[in-house]
Amino acid sequence: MPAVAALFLVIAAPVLFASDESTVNFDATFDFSTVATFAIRPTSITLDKPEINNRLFEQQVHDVLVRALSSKHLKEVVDSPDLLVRVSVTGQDYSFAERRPGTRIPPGPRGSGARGVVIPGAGPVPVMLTGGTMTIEMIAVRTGGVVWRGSVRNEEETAPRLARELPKNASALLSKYPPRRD
Amino acid sequence: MRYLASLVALVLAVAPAVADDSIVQFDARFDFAKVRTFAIRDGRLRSAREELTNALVAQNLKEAIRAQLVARGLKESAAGADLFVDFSVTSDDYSIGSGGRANRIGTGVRGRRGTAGDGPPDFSIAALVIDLVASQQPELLVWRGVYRDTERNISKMVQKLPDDTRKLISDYPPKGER
Repeated sequence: MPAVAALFLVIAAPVLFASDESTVNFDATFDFSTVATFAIRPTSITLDKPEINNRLFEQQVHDVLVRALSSKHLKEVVDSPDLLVRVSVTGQDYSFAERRPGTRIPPGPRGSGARGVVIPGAGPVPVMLTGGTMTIEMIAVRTGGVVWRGSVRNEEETAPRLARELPKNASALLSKYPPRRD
Repeated sequence: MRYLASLVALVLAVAPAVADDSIVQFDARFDFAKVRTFAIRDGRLRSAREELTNALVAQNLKEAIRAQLVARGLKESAAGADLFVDFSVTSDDYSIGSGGRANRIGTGVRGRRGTAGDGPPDFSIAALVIDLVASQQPELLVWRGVYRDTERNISKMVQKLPDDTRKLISDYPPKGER
């Protein structure tokens, strides 16, 4: 059983490369408590992947934004919003080489008859990732300035996986709105 | 056990760390229950490999799409169809450089290190895209399935396309939440 687990770990190693990181910046002089309404601008997508560069993905992101901001008691309006929300998605493919170290599986307890085994190291093995960066900007209509900006960078093994993850990333970013001043 | 370990190590040593994957996206506001008929339009095949771009591949894909949609109760109609079906297959070839990185042959991939390489392909990645487009004016993309397949052997990739098609359309009509 430990041998099977070790094999699984070695095979699943590429999953460990998938990652995401996010940052949020905001205008500390802006009073977010005065914001009651928002409007969402069309999403700008420059990542050339059919899973992401299409109206269905854009609609999904739009729905995530509306759900998240509505849960913060903001209302989507067509005319004269307090905030304009602008979303962009950029990205590119990456490739790098990975070396997988050897793994030693110790023998079983004395008398069990289970012999230890060494799985030799492997590589270099090409690892391919699709990276995407989603940026959400909120612009105060009254001043025309960006008052909140959240950005998340995600790298996944495949573009379908990235397309599944980015809407979740958007939701996680917006959980940090409105900003808290400490 | 030692034999199995060696086998796994050998496979890992040469295989690109990319898995097949797929996604189905749809318009949650579109009423798929009203769809009765479809028409398949000409597909688009883009690849440097002749095995993927010949007319038989397009014909077999059309046949696979037709069979799946008919099995789901839709009827093919030459005129006045509710849905147009568009499909495309694109593929890129990769060579594995001496450092172990995969480089896209031809156009290259911007990577973390090094530059694109040239040479015979070590593996290929294909994307099969099937779109269902509502035939209203203007036309509206309401369903998209994308299947990404990584293969060392392009012939195997071609053989798998009908099955990839079946897997994608098995999620039609979409149910519930995205």
